[in-house]
Amino acid sequence: MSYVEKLRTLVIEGGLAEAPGLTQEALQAGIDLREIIDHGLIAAMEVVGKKFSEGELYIPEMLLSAKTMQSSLNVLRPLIADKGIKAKATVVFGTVQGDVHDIGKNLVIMMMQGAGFEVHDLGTDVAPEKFYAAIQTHKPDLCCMSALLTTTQGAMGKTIKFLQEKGIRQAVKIMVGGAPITEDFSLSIGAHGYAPDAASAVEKAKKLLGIQ
Amino acid sequence: MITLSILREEERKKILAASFRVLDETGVQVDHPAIFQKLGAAGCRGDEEKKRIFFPRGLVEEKLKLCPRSASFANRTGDIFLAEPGGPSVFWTGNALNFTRGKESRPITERDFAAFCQVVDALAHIQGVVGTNLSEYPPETRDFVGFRIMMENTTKHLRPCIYTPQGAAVIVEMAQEYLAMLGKDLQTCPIVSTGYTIVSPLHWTREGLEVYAQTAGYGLPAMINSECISGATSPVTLAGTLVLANAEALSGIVINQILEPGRPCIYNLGFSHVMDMKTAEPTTGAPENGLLAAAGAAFARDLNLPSASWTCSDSACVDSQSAFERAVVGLVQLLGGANIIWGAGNLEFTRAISLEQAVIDNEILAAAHRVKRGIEVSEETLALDLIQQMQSQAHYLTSDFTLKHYRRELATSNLVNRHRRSAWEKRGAKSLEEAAHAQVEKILKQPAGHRPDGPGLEKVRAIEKKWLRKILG
Repeated sequence: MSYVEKLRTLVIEGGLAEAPGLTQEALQAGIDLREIIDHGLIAAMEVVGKKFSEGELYIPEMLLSAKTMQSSLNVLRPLIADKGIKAKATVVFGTVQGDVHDIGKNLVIMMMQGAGFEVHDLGTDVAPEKFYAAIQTHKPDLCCMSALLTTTQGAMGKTIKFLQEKGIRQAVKIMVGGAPITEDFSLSIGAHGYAPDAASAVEKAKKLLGIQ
Repeated sequence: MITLSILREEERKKILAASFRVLDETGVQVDHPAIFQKLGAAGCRGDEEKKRIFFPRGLVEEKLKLCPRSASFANRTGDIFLAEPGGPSVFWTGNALNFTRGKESRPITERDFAAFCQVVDALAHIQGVVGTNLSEYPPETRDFVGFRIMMENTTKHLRPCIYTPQGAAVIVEMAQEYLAMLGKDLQTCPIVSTGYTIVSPLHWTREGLEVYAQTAGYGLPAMINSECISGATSPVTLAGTLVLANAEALSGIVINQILEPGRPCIYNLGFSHVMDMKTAEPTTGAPENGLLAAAGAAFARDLNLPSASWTCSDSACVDSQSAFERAVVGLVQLLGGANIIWGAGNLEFTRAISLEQAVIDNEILAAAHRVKRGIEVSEETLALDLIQQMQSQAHYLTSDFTLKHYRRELATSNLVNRHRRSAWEKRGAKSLEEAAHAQVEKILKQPAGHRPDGPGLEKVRAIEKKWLRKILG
């Protein structure tokens, strides 16, 4: 089994303790960085994501795989910066103004990180101005908004309107989700996409961004 | 009455001791500056920068003593239900976003909710109606508009779902005006009750606390809800979730007793969920929902407070899953001794309501109540004289004894099939869902004159219009 295959298996099986060492060994053996990331780590998380969406895997095991991937990435990070390798996509993500619920947001963020996205978590109760500032700073491909309450879902539309007024509405794709959010609602506020649950959010994001 | 014991006394003491440590050492985030100050003045330690309040055990115990051991809930036909530890249980409906019929579901409209209230009004084992979302009204008006719809369509106890502190104040105004027309007031005739849920873990939002503040001072019962999700917002172990849930509910008790000393409070650990580790959904029909709620009711009894819970199904439609989950979880909650059990008619993790499910639940609840009542043993019920008189003759059916006792001893049902196949076929060969649907249609065809109305409702409508104009312009 090659180093890349071993690493892929390790991430799928959640071998957190062994991942940094094996990653180091792969680098010392001269394995290409891109090869490790694409065919080792991200390929593993694609398998994990598929197993999860098909109900074969439970969330804690999926999160362990994501942690294993991150521990490997931590070893690779200095080299990634040196070689100018970019994440598959950059995302800013927050729970909208007036809402402090964040379980769904946190879950989707972990899944997105597992899929090779760089995610900037803006936290909860995020004002439109803060979304705007984060978009200006991080130049993301995707802006994700979450809400749990019917009384706060209106803040999604307000945020999109604010981005429109600031002239950056079209600079980023916007995706929304949360318990009261529906496809119709997402269309009515001008979002580009909507995911009904955490399991489908990454696939929807990839589709929106044209990522294979 | 049968009461299920989920935890031993020493286990409950251990859990509660841990909860007191959480309150004192970890504290609770309190986003309401005025209430933060009041808690500080009452003897809590505070960290203003982190908005954190630490509750000393002595203070919590002192405030618990102010809580009445019972809370009254009136309906509009003159009945009052007294919720108290060790006392009987009632079932209410639950709030939701969608209205499910068959396998279809859509956002709830005013018409849907009115129909739901009418159906529930005809169901004997559901004693309260909870407000819901109303898709055609802006979110900040849905609580008081919903309250008007409930007033128009049911005489059961009313528990509006509060969306904003202002909505809570409007509802109090509506209820006061309505009762004034009848020469009554909220203290003596609490036709409406309120409550709010802490954001787990350990975070009271400004909105939630303002709802308590707006509804304080009228003697209105306040439901203090902890709604942990085991494995997501609380430890995955049920014992750990109970440690957190007790701490959350106790903090709400202290806050309410500071806002209104002597306010009736309902200790509610029974809204807790466990996270489904495959779908990330907070379950409502899992066996653990029953265990957490029954344990919560036991803690309420220890604290000498009334209790509440929520039973639902995770099924997306009325089917075998919705029936078996309600039966298992509802029965455990009822046997556990929860006084007010939400969720009749709810489906899909509490996201939906269904007319047919309400009718089926009414039957499940009737059966569950019968189980809870247990077996009455007395000289009379032993029937020794009758047995000796009958000897080996099976003539019990024609005895006076049967006529005297059968209605109390045997639960009856108008919904489930107890006919042989041929008779069942002759009656239309209806499944339970079809029979429930037929019952719904029958209820909804009742003449409009049956619906509650009167001059008090005109007042309620006028207040609704006034506030709709104020809010919407």
